[in-house]
Amino acid sequence: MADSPGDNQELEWIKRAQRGDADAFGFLVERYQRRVFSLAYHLVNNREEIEDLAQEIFVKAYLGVRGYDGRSSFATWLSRVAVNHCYDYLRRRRTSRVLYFSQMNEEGERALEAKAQSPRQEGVDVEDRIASRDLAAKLLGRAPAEDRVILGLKELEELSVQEIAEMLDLKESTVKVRLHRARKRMLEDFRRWQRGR
Amino acid sequence: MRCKETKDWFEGRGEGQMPASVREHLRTCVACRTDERDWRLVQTGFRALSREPVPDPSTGFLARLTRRLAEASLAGRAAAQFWDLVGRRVILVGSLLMLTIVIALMLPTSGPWRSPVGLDLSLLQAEVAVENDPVLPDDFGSNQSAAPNVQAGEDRQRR
Repeated sequence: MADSPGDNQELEWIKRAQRGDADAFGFLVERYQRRVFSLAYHLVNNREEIEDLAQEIFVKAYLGVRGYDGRSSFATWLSRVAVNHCYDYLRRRRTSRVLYFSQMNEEGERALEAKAQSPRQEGVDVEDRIASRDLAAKLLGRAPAEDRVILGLKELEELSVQEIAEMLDLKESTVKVRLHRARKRMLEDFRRWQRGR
Repeated sequence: MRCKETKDWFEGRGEGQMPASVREHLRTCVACRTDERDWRLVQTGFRALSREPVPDPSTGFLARLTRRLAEASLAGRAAAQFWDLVGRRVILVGSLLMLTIVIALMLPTSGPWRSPVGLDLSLLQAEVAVENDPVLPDDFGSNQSAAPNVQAGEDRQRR
């Protein structure tokens, strides 16, 4: 970690939070709330529940801040807490796979069908983008929690393999293998859906 | 390049510039071209999702959270005190129990509630047999000790 004044200030807040000072932890919340909101939103993709989720993540982090030993940056540690919480949430919430595609709106489905049947084009217009966005959201919604987390971090949070490995405390090779499997399963799911229509 | 290698590139390492060998394979293989189109479609969707604005914390989020943290802090402290108290009592009771067991093990192996050392069980059996065997008039006088009575009892059982 660098020794900038900001970092020293953060270290001070962390030490105070570790002694049970909720106000000091509040400063850390202010600094990282956007990061936690972004992670929770991209991994769970539910606007209604995001604030509750963020609160739960910060409470969990506050109760576990004594366990923070400074081996990684506080941002990485907090992100790990957030990812683990989102993973637990997704596992609890996982519903039937069949339900998701039935929820895809008709318009999006038609546009997607046309796109899938059309010859390859370099440019993607707005309608296609909306259909693709709908498709990606549904595919993510159907994916198992572990696939959803790793793909969310890579494709939506746009983190590098190295950053994901550090955040999840995994080897880079493990992250690559998990990404590979998740993408493969997602494409298989997409084709199954195309065949089933 | 074969189909499997092209697929692996798309699904696993499909980042950065597409290798010339993959491009070359796509020109000749219809199946891989379809795969590439599907993956491109999914990735376009991911990109669109990632560009969506993330919701901002509502006004009062921090105040509500700080209240919750204070509550969590109080609850945590109460729980810690409770477990501290319970822990101390468990340790005290456990220590007393251990002490009792140690004292019991250190006691001498004789006493009113222990069997005397070197007890002859055959003598005990003989005493029990005498108590159970009624003394018959024929035997009286000729058999004064306990042992012949035992013998007589055994003879009767054999008959």
